[in-house]
Amino acid sequence: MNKYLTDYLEQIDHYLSVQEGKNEILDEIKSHILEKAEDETGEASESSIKDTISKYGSPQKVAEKYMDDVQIISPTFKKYLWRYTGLLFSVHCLLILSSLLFFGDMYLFPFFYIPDMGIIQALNYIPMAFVYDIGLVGMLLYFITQRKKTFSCPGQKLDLKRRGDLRNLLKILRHFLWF
Amino acid sequence: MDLNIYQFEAEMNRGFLQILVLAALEKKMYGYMMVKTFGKMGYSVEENTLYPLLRRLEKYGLIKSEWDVSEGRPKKFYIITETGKTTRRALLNKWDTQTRILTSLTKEIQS
Repeated sequence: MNKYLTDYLEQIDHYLSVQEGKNEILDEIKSHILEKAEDETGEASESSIKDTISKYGSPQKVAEKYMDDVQIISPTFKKYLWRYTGLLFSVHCLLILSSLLFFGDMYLFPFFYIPDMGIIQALNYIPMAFVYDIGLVGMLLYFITQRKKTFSCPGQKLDLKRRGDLRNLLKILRHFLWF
Repeated sequence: MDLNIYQFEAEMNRGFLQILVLAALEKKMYGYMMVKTFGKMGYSVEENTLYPLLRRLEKYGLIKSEWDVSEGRPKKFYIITETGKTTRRALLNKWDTQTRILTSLTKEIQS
Protein backbone atom coordinates (compact mmCIF):
# COMPACT_ATOMS: atom_id res chain seq x y z
CA MET A 1 0.00 0.00 0.00
CA ASN A 2 1.04 3.60 -0.58
CA LYS A 3 3.23 5.00 2.21
CA TYR A 4 1.17 8.22 2.62
CA LEU A 5 -2.01 6.22 2.90
CA THR A 6 -0.49 3.81 5.43
CA ASP A 7 0.77 6.72 7.54
CA TYR A 8 -2.56 8.52 7.29
CA LEU A 9 -4.54 5.45 8.38
CA GLU A 10 -2.11 4.79 11.22
CA GLN A 11 -2.60 8.32 12.49
CA ILE A 12 -6.39 8.02 12.34
CA ASP A 13 -6.06 4.69 14.17
CA HIS A 14 -4.02 6.46 16.85
CA TYR A 15 -6.72 9.11 17.51
CA LEU A 16 -9.75 6.89 16.99
CA SER A 17 -11.28 5.66 20.21
CA VAL A 18 -14.33 3.52 19.43
CA GLN A 19 -15.62 0.43 21.18
CA GLU A 20 -15.77 -1.76 18.08
CA GLY A 21 -15.39 -1.76 14.31
CA LYS A 22 -12.15 0.22 14.21
CA ASN A 23 -10.63 -1.88 11.41
CA GLU A 24 -13.80 -1.60 9.39
CA ILE A 25 -13.71 2.20 9.67
CA LEU A 26 -10.11 2.26 8.47
CA ASP A 27 -10.84 -0.16 5.62
CA GLU A 28 -13.73 2.00 4.47
CA ILE A 29 -11.61 5.16 4.49
CA LYS A 30 -8.85 3.34 2.61
CA SER A 31 -11.27 2.07 -0.02
CA HIS A 32 -12.75 5.56 -0.42
CA ILE A 33 -9.40 7.29 -0.84
CA LEU A 34 -8.10 4.75 -3.36
CA GLU A 35 -11.26 4.84 -5.43
CA LYS A 36 -11.48 8.63 -5.41
CA ALA A 37 -7.80 9.01 -6.34
CA GLU A 38 -8.27 6.57 -9.23
CA ASP A 39 -11.54 8.13 -10.31
CA GLU A 40 -10.17 11.66 -10.48
CA THR A 41 -6.84 11.03 -12.16
CA GLY A 42 -7.21 7.65 -13.85
CA GLU A 43 -4.83 5.87 -11.47
CA ALA A 44 -4.18 5.73 -7.73
CA SER A 45 -0.72 7.29 -8.01
CA GLU A 46 1.29 8.67 -5.12
CA SER A 47 0.43 12.29 -5.92
CA SER A 48 -3.31 11.63 -6.46
CA ILE A 49 -3.51 9.72 -3.17
CA LYS A 50 -1.67 12.54 -1.41
CA ASP A 51 -4.10 15.05 -2.89
CA THR A 52 -7.17 13.00 -1.92
CA ILE A 53 -5.86 12.58 1.62
CA SER A 54 -5.34 16.32 2.01
CA LYS A 55 -8.97 16.90 0.99
CA TYR A 56 -10.26 14.21 3.35
CA GLY A 57 -9.08 16.14 6.41
CA SER A 58 -6.56 15.88 9.22
CA PRO A 59 -6.45 12.49 11.01
CA GLN A 60 -7.47 14.09 14.30
CA LYS A 61 -10.55 15.78 12.77
CA VAL A 62 -11.53 12.59 10.95
CA ALA A 63 -11.31 10.57 14.18
CA GLU A 64 -13.24 13.23 16.12
CA LYS A 65 -16.22 12.94 13.77
CA TYR A 66 -16.65 9.29 14.78
CA MET A 67 -16.75 10.28 18.42
CA ASP A 68 -19.26 13.13 18.18
CA ASP A 69 -21.71 11.46 20.53
CA VAL A 70 -19.08 10.41 23.08
CA GLN A 71 -18.91 12.66 26.13
CA ILE A 72 -16.28 12.56 28.82
CA ILE A 73 -18.11 14.94 31.13
CA SER A 74 -21.63 16.11 30.30
CA PRO A 75 -21.74 19.85 29.40
CA THR A 76 -24.53 20.24 31.95
CA PHE A 77 -21.99 19.48 34.72
CA LYS A 78 -19.52 22.13 33.58
CA LYS A 79 -20.47 24.66 36.24
CA TYR A 80 -20.41 21.95 38.92
CA LEU A 81 -16.84 21.07 38.03
CA TRP A 82 -15.77 24.56 39.11
CA ARG A 83 -18.27 24.88 41.93
CA TYR A 84 -17.33 21.60 43.63
CA THR A 85 -13.64 22.12 42.94
CA GLY A 86 -13.93 25.54 44.56
CA LEU A 87 -15.65 24.00 47.56
CA LEU A 88 -13.09 21.23 47.98
CA PHE A 89 -10.22 23.62 47.43
CA SER A 90 -11.58 25.93 50.16
CA VAL A 91 -11.71 22.96 52.56
CA HIS A 92 -8.21 22.01 51.50
CA CYS A 93 -6.89 25.55 52.06
CA LEU A 94 -8.55 25.80 55.47
CA LEU A 95 -7.00 22.49 56.48
CA ILE A 96 -3.59 23.70 55.34
CA LEU A 97 -4.09 26.89 57.33
CA SER A 98 -5.18 24.94 60.39
CA SER A 99 -2.21 22.64 60.04
CA LEU A 100 0.06 25.69 60.03
CA LEU A 101 -1.67 27.32 63.02
CA PHE A 102 -1.95 24.22 65.19
CA PHE A 103 1.28 22.51 64.10
CA GLY A 104 -0.39 19.15 63.56
CA ASP A 105 -1.55 16.72 60.94
CA MET A 106 -5.02 17.40 59.54
CA TYR A 107 -7.13 14.89 57.76
CA LEU A 108 -10.64 14.27 56.52
CA PHE A 109 -10.89 10.60 55.80
CA PRO A 110 -10.60 9.40 53.05
CA PHE A 111 -9.86 12.37 50.82
CA PHE A 112 -7.65 14.81 52.66
CA TYR A 113 -4.47 14.38 54.60
CA ILE A 114 -2.35 17.42 55.40
CA PRO A 115 0.90 16.63 57.18
CA ASP A 116 2.45 19.03 59.62
CA MET A 117 4.50 21.38 57.42
CA GLY A 118 6.18 24.77 57.30
CA ILE A 119 5.04 27.86 55.36
CA ILE A 120 7.27 27.22 52.32
CA GLN A 121 6.09 23.62 52.08
CA ALA A 122 2.49 24.76 52.44
CA LEU A 123 2.88 27.27 49.59
CA ASN A 124 4.24 24.50 47.40
CA TYR A 125 1.42 22.23 48.47
CA ILE A 126 -1.42 24.62 47.48
CA PRO A 127 -1.15 24.24 43.65
CA MET A 128 -0.93 20.47 44.09
CA ALA A 129 -4.04 20.57 46.24
CA PHE A 130 -5.91 22.38 43.46
CA VAL A 131 -4.85 19.78 40.87
CA TYR A 132 -5.92 17.01 43.24
CA ASP A 133 -9.32 18.63 43.86
CA ILE A 134 -10.15 19.27 40.19
CA GLY A 135 -9.06 15.72 39.39
CA LEU A 136 -11.25 14.26 42.10
CA VAL A 137 -14.32 16.25 41.03
CA GLY A 138 -13.62 15.57 37.34
CA MET A 139 -13.40 11.84 38.00
CA LEU A 140 -16.67 11.87 39.93
CA LEU A 141 -18.49 13.78 37.17
CA TYR A 142 -16.95 11.47 34.56
CA PHE A 143 -18.42 8.40 36.26
CA ILE A 144 -21.82 10.10 36.59
CA THR A 145 -21.76 11.02 32.86
CA GLN A 146 -20.81 7.49 31.83
CA ARG A 147 -23.75 6.04 33.79
CA LYS A 148 -25.96 8.00 31.34
CA LYS A 149 -28.66 8.54 33.91
CA THR A 150 -30.16 11.87 34.85
CA PHE A 151 -28.57 13.16 37.99
CA SER A 152 -29.27 16.28 39.88
CA CYS A 153 -26.17 17.69 41.46
CA PRO A 154 -26.44 18.83 45.09
CA GLY A 155 -26.20 22.57 45.55
CA GLN A 156 -28.16 23.46 42.41
CA LYS A 157 -29.82 26.39 44.11
CA LEU A 158 -26.73 27.51 45.95
CA ASP A 159 -25.87 31.07 45.00
CA LEU A 160 -22.76 32.31 46.75
CA LYS A 161 -23.69 35.92 46.01
CA ARG A 162 -26.69 35.50 48.32
CA ARG A 163 -25.67 36.22 51.90
CA GLY A 164 -27.75 33.35 53.39
CA ASP A 165 -26.21 30.78 51.06
CA LEU A 166 -22.70 31.96 51.82
CA ARG A 167 -23.45 31.69 55.56
CA ASN A 168 -24.70 28.11 55.05
CA LEU A 169 -21.58 27.22 53.12
CA LEU A 170 -19.38 28.61 55.89
CA LYS A 171 -21.36 26.55 58.41
CA ILE A 172 -20.66 23.39 56.38
CA LEU A 173 -16.96 24.23 56.20
CA ARG A 174 -16.86 24.88 59.97
CA HIS A 175 -18.40 21.45 60.57
CA PHE A 176 -15.76 19.89 58.35
CA LEU A 177 -12.99 21.59 60.28
CA TRP A 178 -14.47 20.66 63.62
CA PHE A 179 -14.47 17.04 62.46
CA MET B 1 -19.56 36.73 18.74
CA ASP B 2 -17.85 35.88 15.48
CA LEU B 3 -20.24 33.66 13.55
CA ASN B 4 -20.32 33.05 9.86
CA ILE B 5 -22.73 31.46 7.41
CA TYR B 6 -20.76 28.18 7.31
CA GLN B 7 -21.44 27.43 10.94
CA PHE B 8 -25.20 27.77 10.43
CA GLU B 9 -24.96 25.84 7.18
CA ALA B 10 -23.12 22.98 8.89
CA GLU B 11 -25.87 22.73 11.51
CA MET B 12 -28.58 22.73 8.83
CA ASN B 13 -26.75 20.16 6.73
CA ARG B 14 -26.48 17.69 9.59
CA GLY B 15 -30.22 17.03 9.63
CA PHE B 16 -30.62 17.30 5.88
CA LEU B 17 -27.86 14.79 5.17
CA GLN B 18 -29.55 12.27 7.44
CA ILE B 19 -32.80 12.41 5.46
CA LEU B 20 -30.92 12.50 2.18
CA VAL B 21 -29.00 9.32 3.02
CA LEU B 22 -32.15 7.52 4.15
CA ALA B 23 -33.85 8.54 0.91
CA ALA B 24 -30.93 7.49 -1.27
CA LEU B 25 -30.48 4.12 0.36
CA GLU B 26 -33.66 2.73 -1.11
CA LYS B 27 -31.15 0.97 -3.33
CA LYS B 28 -27.76 -0.42 -2.32
CA MET B 29 -24.99 2.19 -2.38
CA TYR B 30 -21.51 2.65 -0.97
CA GLY B 31 -19.99 5.82 0.45
CA TYR B 32 -18.13 7.19 -2.54
CA MET B 33 -21.10 6.37 -4.79
CA MET B 34 -23.30 8.54 -2.53
CA VAL B 35 -20.79 11.39 -2.58
CA LYS B 36 -20.79 11.33 -6.38
CA THR B 37 -24.57 10.97 -6.70
CA PHE B 38 -25.23 13.86 -4.35
CA GLY B 39 -22.52 15.91 -6.08
CA LYS B 40 -24.22 15.45 -9.46
CA MET B 41 -27.46 16.69 -7.89
CA GLY B 42 -25.64 19.84 -6.75
CA TYR B 43 -25.15 18.90 -3.12
CA SER B 44 -21.58 18.61 -1.98
CA VAL B 45 -20.98 16.28 0.96
CA GLU B 46 -17.91 16.24 3.15
CA GLU B 47 -16.68 12.67 2.96
CA ASN B 48 -15.39 12.68 6.50
CA THR B 49 -18.90 13.60 7.68
CA LEU B 50 -20.74 11.03 5.60
CA TYR B 51 -19.02 7.89 6.93
CA PRO B 52 -19.51 8.64 10.64
CA LEU B 53 -23.16 9.40 9.85
CA LEU B 54 -23.55 6.05 8.08
CA ARG B 55 -22.02 4.32 11.08
CA ARG B 56 -24.43 6.12 13.43
CA LEU B 57 -27.47 5.25 11.31
CA GLU B 58 -26.34 1.63 11.24
CA LYS B 59 -25.89 1.62 15.01
CA TYR B 60 -29.51 2.78 15.38
CA GLY B 61 -30.64 0.00 13.02
CA LEU B 62 -31.90 2.38 10.32
CA ILE B 63 -29.55 0.99 7.68
CA LYS B 64 -27.50 -2.18 7.31
CA SER B 65 -24.26 -2.87 5.53
CA GLU B 66 -22.27 -5.61 3.88
CA TRP B 67 -18.85 -5.76 2.26
CA ASP B 68 -18.71 -6.61 -1.41
CA VAL B 69 -15.39 -8.21 -2.26
CA SER B 70 -16.36 -9.55 -5.69
CA GLU B 71 -14.53 -6.72 -7.48
CA GLY B 72 -10.88 -5.83 -7.03
CA ARG B 73 -11.38 -3.36 -4.21
CA PRO B 74 -13.67 -4.23 -1.26
CA LYS B 75 -16.62 -1.84 -0.89
CA LYS B 76 -19.03 -1.46 1.96
CA PHE B 77 -22.60 -1.27 0.64
CA TYR B 78 -25.47 0.13 2.65
CA ILE B 79 -29.23 -0.27 2.34
CA ILE B 80 -32.18 0.97 4.37
CA THR B 81 -33.92 -1.38 6.85
CA GLU B 82 -37.64 -1.58 7.66
CA THR B 83 -37.05 0.51 10.81
CA GLY B 84 -35.21 3.00 8.62
CA LYS B 85 -38.16 3.21 6.25
CA THR B 86 -40.55 3.97 9.11
CA THR B 87 -38.18 6.60 10.47
CA ARG B 88 -37.73 8.08 7.00
CA ARG B 89 -41.49 8.40 6.55
CA ALA B 90 -41.81 10.22 9.88
CA LEU B 91 -38.85 12.48 9.11
CA LEU B 92 -40.19 13.36 5.65
CA ASN B 93 -43.54 14.30 7.18
CA LYS B 94 -41.74 16.58 9.62
CA TRP B 95 -39.69 17.99 6.78
CA ASP B 96 -42.87 18.78 4.80
CA THR B 97 -44.40 20.57 7.76
CA GLN B 98 -41.25 22.59 8.34
CA THR B 99 -40.99 23.52 4.66
CA ARG B 100 -44.64 24.62 4.64
CA ILE B 101 -44.12 26.80 7.71
CA LEU B 102 -40.94 28.32 6.31
CA THR B 103 -42.53 28.96 2.90
CA SER B 104 -45.49 30.75 4.43
CA LEU B 105 -43.20 32.86 6.61
CA THR B 106 -40.82 33.79 3.81
CA LYS B 107 -43.79 34.71 1.62
CA GLU B 108 -44.83 37.19 4.30
CA ILE B 109 -41.29 38.61 4.40
CA GLN B 110 -41.12 38.96 0.62
CA SER B 111 -44.56 40.54 0.24
